[in-house]
Amino acid sequence: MARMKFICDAERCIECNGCVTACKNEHEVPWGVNRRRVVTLNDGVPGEKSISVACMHCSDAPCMAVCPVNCFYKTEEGVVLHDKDVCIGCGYCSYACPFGAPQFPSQGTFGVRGKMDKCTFCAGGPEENGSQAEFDKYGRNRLAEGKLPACAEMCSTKALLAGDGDVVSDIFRQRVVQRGKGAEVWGWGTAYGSAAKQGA
Amino acid sequence: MDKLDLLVVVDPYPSATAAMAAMPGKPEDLNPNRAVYLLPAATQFETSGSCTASNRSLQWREKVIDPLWESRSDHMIMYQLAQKLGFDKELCKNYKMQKVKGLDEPVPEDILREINKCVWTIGYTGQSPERLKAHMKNMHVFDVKTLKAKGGKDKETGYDFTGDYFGLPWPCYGTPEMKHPGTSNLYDTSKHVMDGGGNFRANFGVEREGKNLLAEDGSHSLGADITTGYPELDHILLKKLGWWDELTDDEKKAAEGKNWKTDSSGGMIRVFMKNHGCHPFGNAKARAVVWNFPDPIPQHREPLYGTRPDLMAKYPTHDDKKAFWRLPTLYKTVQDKNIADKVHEKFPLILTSGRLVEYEGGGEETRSNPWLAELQQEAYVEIHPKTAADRGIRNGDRVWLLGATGARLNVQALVTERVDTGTVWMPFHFSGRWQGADMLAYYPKGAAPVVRGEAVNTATTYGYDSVTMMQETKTTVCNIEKA
Amino acid sequence: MRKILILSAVTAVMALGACSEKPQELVSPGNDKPVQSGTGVAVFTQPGWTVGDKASWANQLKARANYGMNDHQRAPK
Repeated sequence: MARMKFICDAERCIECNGCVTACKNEHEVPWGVNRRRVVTLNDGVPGEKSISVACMHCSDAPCMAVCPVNCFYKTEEGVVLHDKDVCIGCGYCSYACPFGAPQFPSQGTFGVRGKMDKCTFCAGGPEENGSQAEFDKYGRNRLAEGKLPACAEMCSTKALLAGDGDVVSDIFRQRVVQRGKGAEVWGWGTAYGSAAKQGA
Repeated sequence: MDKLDLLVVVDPYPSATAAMAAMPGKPEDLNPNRAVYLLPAATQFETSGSCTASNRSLQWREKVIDPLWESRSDHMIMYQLAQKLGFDKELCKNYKMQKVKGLDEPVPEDILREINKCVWTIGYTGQSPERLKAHMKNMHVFDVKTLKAKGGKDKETGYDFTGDYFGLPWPCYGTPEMKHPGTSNLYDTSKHVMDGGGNFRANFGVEREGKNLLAEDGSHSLGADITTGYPELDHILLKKLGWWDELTDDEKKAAEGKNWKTDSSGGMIRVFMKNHGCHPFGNAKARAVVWNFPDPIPQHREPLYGTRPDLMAKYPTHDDKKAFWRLPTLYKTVQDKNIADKVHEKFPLILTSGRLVEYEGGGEETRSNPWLAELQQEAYVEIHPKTAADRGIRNGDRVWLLGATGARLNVQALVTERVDTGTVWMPFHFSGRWQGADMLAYYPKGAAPVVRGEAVNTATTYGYDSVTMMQETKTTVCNIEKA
Repeated sequence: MRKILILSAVTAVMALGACSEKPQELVSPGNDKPVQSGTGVAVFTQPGWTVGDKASWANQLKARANYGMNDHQRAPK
């Protein structure tokens, strides 16, 4: 079983923020904490591209490497999780992360910056799987229910894919082979059938 | 709103209407006899019922929870109002009642069945609650591209899905027993009428100015027994074709002297469609010239409020209508007055409005949702960089949008090239701020939306479509200045 | 001279030891049960896999990913 991974297909992302809303709703994430966000380049200009970003669950996680209290751990599926009871809210993981995944709530035990919160790949945390304590601290544990992360399952265009790295890259490869790249991705032929099959 | 005698707001959310009613205006305007009622309505999760989508298909929604607090479903509210006014027995004579939190509520299935019994013309008759519920429980039998079911039977009721289009999109003709599959694409002559096919309707008469309006020979839907044009179905036509005796005795009793729209048995539709493959609304030519509209072919007409008086002279608007849907409606008078008053000089920018992804409609429900509200926290106006530079406005500045109505909207500026130099754009989902002031204090406690903003329609002006009387909210004029 | 060489060599090796990748396996909470052990809440658990069985869980997720995220599999060509 390969590691759990996200892939966001920038050709399909339409910046609907469905993934963001799904994550917020599923885990009741408070205002100001953005586990997932959609980044748009060239907004309003032809050639605009969007991509959905959250914790990438790195194989060699910088957050894990720099944490002074070692609150991070990695599950067998490669999901990077952390223990909020150990976290001191220093913010070092936030410096280290190239994606800006660690988030800090506006109010918290430490006043200005509370415990770190981030995308859990919908795998909860160290608390008992599916318990209320786990939900309060980390959100819902969908993997333990046999489901995939809410953001990818909710994606309106299937731009965001999540799951076993092998499975996800297989799906993506199939998609790219089918649709081509560059100018071939969009157009009448792609939407209504290839030019060869086009009748009238 | 202060002058009203009665205002009733029926909504799950109190809405800006309620806040505006509570907001004090000029003391001399306030009607001392004014009564304002806020009736909390139940949301779609607190009741069941059918729901029609914009692709014409219907779905059956199940109830998830009982109505919260004091909210009641819309049909319960209507029933209770009818009770107070004394005609509840007539209104609900075809409905059974069910108890919801101790109160009587018309059973939603019965309401749909009443619609099924009489809305023949647009084909809202075949979508019985039973068929819809079976569809909802068996979505997997429908092909993902065509939405057609190739087979399958519902486990509980044994209903056979073969041939049905998901949601039985209207028109779904005839009684539910006739099992019309719904119409996925309108007027599709490549399909048989019992497969959702059709032809163009004969709604405009048989002939006009000597020209035949019905379809010509050879133009008909697949497999139709009549291979030329024919008018709308009525008992005379059915008898002339010799198909009258295919009706059962009961159907004959109901159909005698009637047409397909008033035949309560649905028998004429059954014989015409199922037995002979013909369409009950007739087979005629489509028309490109709509002779009963003010403009038979669309003409360009400048809006009442515009920035180009020269174009208004060249493409003037309609003449005033003395009685349009029983109301006097002005066109030319308003446009001429605007030209005379040089409105375009005071308000040189075209204002239009549109949608955001995060919010829906008036925004009362979606702006109350914290996840969505966080994504769009400010009402704003899109301004072209040149227009902004001319006014000393930078991206993110607060600006006053001055409407031709006299309104002043305080919004944030988004400087972008998405609009051109002469146009500005505002989203229409916001409300809850009035001329720069937050209306939070006027909402019922705890029921205000998370995000409040200026409502663009405070600045949109008079104007109505010449056929539908749709309000002109998409083009008016304004000016912007730095706040 | 040799002593200094050996000493510096040993120090260098020890210092370089810090550059190698630290193992990042399951470190702190040994109490976090693997996801395949389920939540114990039957009503929210997706049917189609056996609790505790890694292979059936992985297969269930694979099927779910292909059903929900792979439109090329479901749509006719």
